[in-house]
Amino acid sequence: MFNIKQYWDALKASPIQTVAKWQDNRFLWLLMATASLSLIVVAHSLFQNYIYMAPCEQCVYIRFAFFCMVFGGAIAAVNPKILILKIIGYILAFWGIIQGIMYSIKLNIIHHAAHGDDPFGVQGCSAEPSFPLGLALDKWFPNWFNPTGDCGFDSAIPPEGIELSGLQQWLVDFYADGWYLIPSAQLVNMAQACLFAFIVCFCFLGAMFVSWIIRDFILQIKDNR
Amino acid sequence: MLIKKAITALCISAVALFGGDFKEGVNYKTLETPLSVEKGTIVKVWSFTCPFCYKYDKAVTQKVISSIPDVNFEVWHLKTKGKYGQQGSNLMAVARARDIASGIKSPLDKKGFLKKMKFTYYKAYHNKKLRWANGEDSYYKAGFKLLGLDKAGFIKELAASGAQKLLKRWDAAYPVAKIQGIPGFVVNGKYLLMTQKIKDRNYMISLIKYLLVK
Repeated sequence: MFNIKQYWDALKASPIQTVAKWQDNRFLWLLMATASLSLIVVAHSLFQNYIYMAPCEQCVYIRFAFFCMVFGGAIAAVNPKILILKIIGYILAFWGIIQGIMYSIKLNIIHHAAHGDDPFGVQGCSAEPSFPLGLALDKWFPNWFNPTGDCGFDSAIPPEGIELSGLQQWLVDFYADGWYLIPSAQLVNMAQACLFAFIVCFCFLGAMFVSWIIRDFILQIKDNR
Repeated sequence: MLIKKAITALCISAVALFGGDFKEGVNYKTLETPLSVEKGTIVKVWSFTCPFCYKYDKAVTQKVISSIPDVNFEVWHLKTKGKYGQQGSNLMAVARARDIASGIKSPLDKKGFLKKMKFTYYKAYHNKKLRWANGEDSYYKAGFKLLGLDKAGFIKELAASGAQKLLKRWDAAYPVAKIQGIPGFVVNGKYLLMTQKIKDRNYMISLIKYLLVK
């Protein structure tokens, strides 16, 4: 409790210096990597494997974007004081976030077209996935990156004849119409939730980056004058 | 109502005649390897697993194609999509081969086996959410019933030249599908409609008419 108050007071007193100092330490980088990895693991283990929500094409791209943030965070966290590691961390994380925002927006458009009466204005379903840099992730790690679901849909569809546990059945029924933050009201779909997560990460990472640039470059130049 | 229809028809004709703002790479893409079809042909590349193919076939395809006179329409099932893509192509090919043999020209003809087969599997996959985890026999069951065949009879019809010719012809669907996914509409074997740019049925009709005479 004391520590949180101390951090808060420091942030209020000198926001740029404080955030710049934080991004020199491992905590924020590890937090980003852990949060991203947690979302991937939940999507894969709980939604895909446990309740049979097959991932759509944009969903596996979003996974890839989160993985970029995991690697970015992990690389920077090795030692954030080493410039090259920090730069690689920022590049990977920002790239993942920007890709993730674009995939989420596209998924949201596809979701609305797939669930509405107007099928126009969307590209349709790809014959096979195409990851950035020509990475054949769907071939190398099919369980994680092969889009076995239908574009725009994320309903839980257990194989016929399979016996589900009580919890599995409850979750399958809970997400019968697809993943929503509040399924009963069909409020905040998967794409919107991911978009929100990416935007939050962008704001935090942006604040870290800007504080670092101001402290180590802009203020340095000013001081040297 | 009549005036509205006349104005719409006039607009479509004008756009078809003058090309409107249709641009290569934006509204359509010229295929590097054209499909081997006759002039005046529209090919639809599709899969029974594709939700947008289903949506187009429910509300768009029939109305668009019937608005364009003297056009030859073909549907090419994509065998690479989904766990039962090949089996789906097999069923569609047998159904279409039967239709052709019995003189049913359009694959949209509601009396034809193809249309019935398409909607049987669209509905099973998208409405009933069937995924046939018990293997291909369970997948084929509804198709065999529709065709009135057992497995041996189906294998025989599938091996016949009518179905085999279609399957071979449909192999060219894959490179088309790779460009921008499915559904994919190809005009005169050369011009692929950019699906994302299709705003409504009238737009689609005018773009097809423009490309048919290009």
